[in-house]
Amino acid sequence: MIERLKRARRLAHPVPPAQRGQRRRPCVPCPPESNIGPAREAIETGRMRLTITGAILTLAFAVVGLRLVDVSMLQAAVEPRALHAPKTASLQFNRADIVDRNGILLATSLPTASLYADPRQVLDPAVAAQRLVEVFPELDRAQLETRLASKRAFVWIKRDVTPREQWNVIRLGLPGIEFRREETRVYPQGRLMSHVLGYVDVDERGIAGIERRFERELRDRSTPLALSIDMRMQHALCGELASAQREFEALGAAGLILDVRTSEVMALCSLPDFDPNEAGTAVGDARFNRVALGVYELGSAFKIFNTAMALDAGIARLDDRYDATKPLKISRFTIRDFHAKQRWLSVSEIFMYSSNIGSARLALEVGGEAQQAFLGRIGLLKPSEIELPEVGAPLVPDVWRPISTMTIGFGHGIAVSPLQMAAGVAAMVNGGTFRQPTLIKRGDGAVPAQRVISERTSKQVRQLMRLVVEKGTGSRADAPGYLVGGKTGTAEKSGSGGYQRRALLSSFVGTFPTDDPRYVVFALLDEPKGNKKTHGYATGGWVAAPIVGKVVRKIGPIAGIRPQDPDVPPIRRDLAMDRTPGARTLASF
Amino acid sequence: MRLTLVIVWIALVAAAVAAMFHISFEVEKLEARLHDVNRQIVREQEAIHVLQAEWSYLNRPQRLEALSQELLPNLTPVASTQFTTFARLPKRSETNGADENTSIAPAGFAPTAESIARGRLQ
Repeated sequence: MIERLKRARRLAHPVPPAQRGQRRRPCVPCPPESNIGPAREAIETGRMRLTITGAILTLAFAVVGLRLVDVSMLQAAVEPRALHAPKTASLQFNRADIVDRNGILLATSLPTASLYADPRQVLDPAVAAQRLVEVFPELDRAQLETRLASKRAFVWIKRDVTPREQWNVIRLGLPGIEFRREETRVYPQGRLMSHVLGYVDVDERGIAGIERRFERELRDRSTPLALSIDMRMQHALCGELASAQREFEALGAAGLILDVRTSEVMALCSLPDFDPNEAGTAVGDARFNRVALGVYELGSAFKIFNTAMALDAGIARLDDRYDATKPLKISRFTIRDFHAKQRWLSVSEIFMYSSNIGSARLALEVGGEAQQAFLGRIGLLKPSEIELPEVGAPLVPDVWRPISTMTIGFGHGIAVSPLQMAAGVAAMVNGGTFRQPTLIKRGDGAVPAQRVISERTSKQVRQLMRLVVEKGTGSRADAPGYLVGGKTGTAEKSGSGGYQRRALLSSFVGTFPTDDPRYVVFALLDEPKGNKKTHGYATGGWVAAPIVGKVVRKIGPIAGIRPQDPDVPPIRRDLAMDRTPGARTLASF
Repeated sequence: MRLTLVIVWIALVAAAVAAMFHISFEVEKLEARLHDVNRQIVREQEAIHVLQAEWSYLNRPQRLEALSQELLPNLTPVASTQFTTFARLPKRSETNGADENTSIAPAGFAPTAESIARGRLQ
């Protein structure tokens, strides 16, 4: 176009070629004659218009160019195109996994298919129902047919079908029958962790246990939730409890292992148990958590607290003696000894022979108020703060009468959960600091500790507990090399019309290694029946102590505890009784 | 001269356009590949997730115990009698001697010869 204009100009004003070549800028020459004015004006107008048009076009192109740079280079950072691509880190499930302290998978969510139907698209409900029942024999045909014939747009046929079932349904090729991707909660360990983990409903909502307690956390977090449980210890404990339960035909069994330094629960087992994968099929009281929810009068094991309390308060020393010659009568109650010695007993003997009379006298001397305060400090008067929804509130006397003080001295008239018991014992042996037990993996010092007794008293309690296993009622709890210490507990269950002689709660609470305790192991059998091997006895020393002994033998190597020779001098010295100089040596040692 | 300039410009524009289209198609191709790879990664992750659950299921302590008892009858849990300390180990010079009966077990835990021979400890 510009060329054409130039050509027109040249035609109008021919100039010599030499002149034209020299001119750089196209400039319209002005001829001397003025009679060509109109033509010049026209050319001027043309030039003007050309300049304006050019300027506008240049501007427009500049805008387009800038926008191009903007779109192609600058905008890319704001709106990445990879947005539409699936992100690799985006594999998210509705619920986080639960793992044990070593990272072993305990609960996870797996993708699964659920079968549903759009009845509007189902051609022949009768045929479809017939075909589906062939794949799922457990479905009710008539009911399925009415549902497929309904006018709704969505009906569930079956949730969580297996891949094989899914394939079989796809092969039927029925229109209107579709799958929806869902998730299902899977517990690979089965019934081993039932009472800890709890279970979820079909929509993955926590119903019990950790699943319920951490419902929101599990939905929010992307990393697995690590429990304090050690699967290997859990297996050792549950296995021993189960075989003891079978052997003594007990109604149930409960046990736990507690780390005394951090109060982390290493294992928690309640029998009978259930399979959390099929929680609906649990029968009877299988879903009842005997460790945290059940509260029991645990009997003589309470003498650990009673003795520690008396020693710590400075009311008694280990070799102070108390009258246990005859049963103690108070109002309408009579306190008797099971292993009656019918003589004066020292504090260590009261503990070793599990004397109820002596313990009652000790408790009375300490006094009800101090006893109540002490039991409160070690968490026995309030429900445990463990991370489970199923936590039993202890049963304590409304009015703390002297008789309550006396019976509580040997573990009657107060019902606590095995969990509270173990946590209390942990505080007695770990140097005297109490921590609330926890099911979540924590490091050292993460759980606030509270001093409840002195280091010295704690050491004395350990010596007493070792004595019970070495020479007293708990000898069957011994595990060579692991220096087990403990206390038996046998309580009659209270039923209608007082205590039942035949229905016992036999327990043993042990700790090892006694010179520097790492774990507290508790085992309880509900209504065990004595057999030939136990000479008909079903007391804690006969039925529960062996469980603890066997568990310690199994978990000692797992925990990496070096077996020690109990007869080497440093251990002897450490575990020997502190004697007040000049005190009488007792014949029974 | 002008013509050359114009031709050069046209050529440049054409080259730019061609390059742009080429790059844009390449990017699209790469994006499609990225999409595929990402989808595959997600699939693999899902498979790993399922396999982890299966691994945990197959490693149930009950199952391992049963398998171990069946297939490795001589392998039993470590007993406390099987531990010893360096202090209790006999010195090299002593072992060269005739004293074959030096026990390396802690005193009081000396396992019986029979149980050692059977590879088991009570």
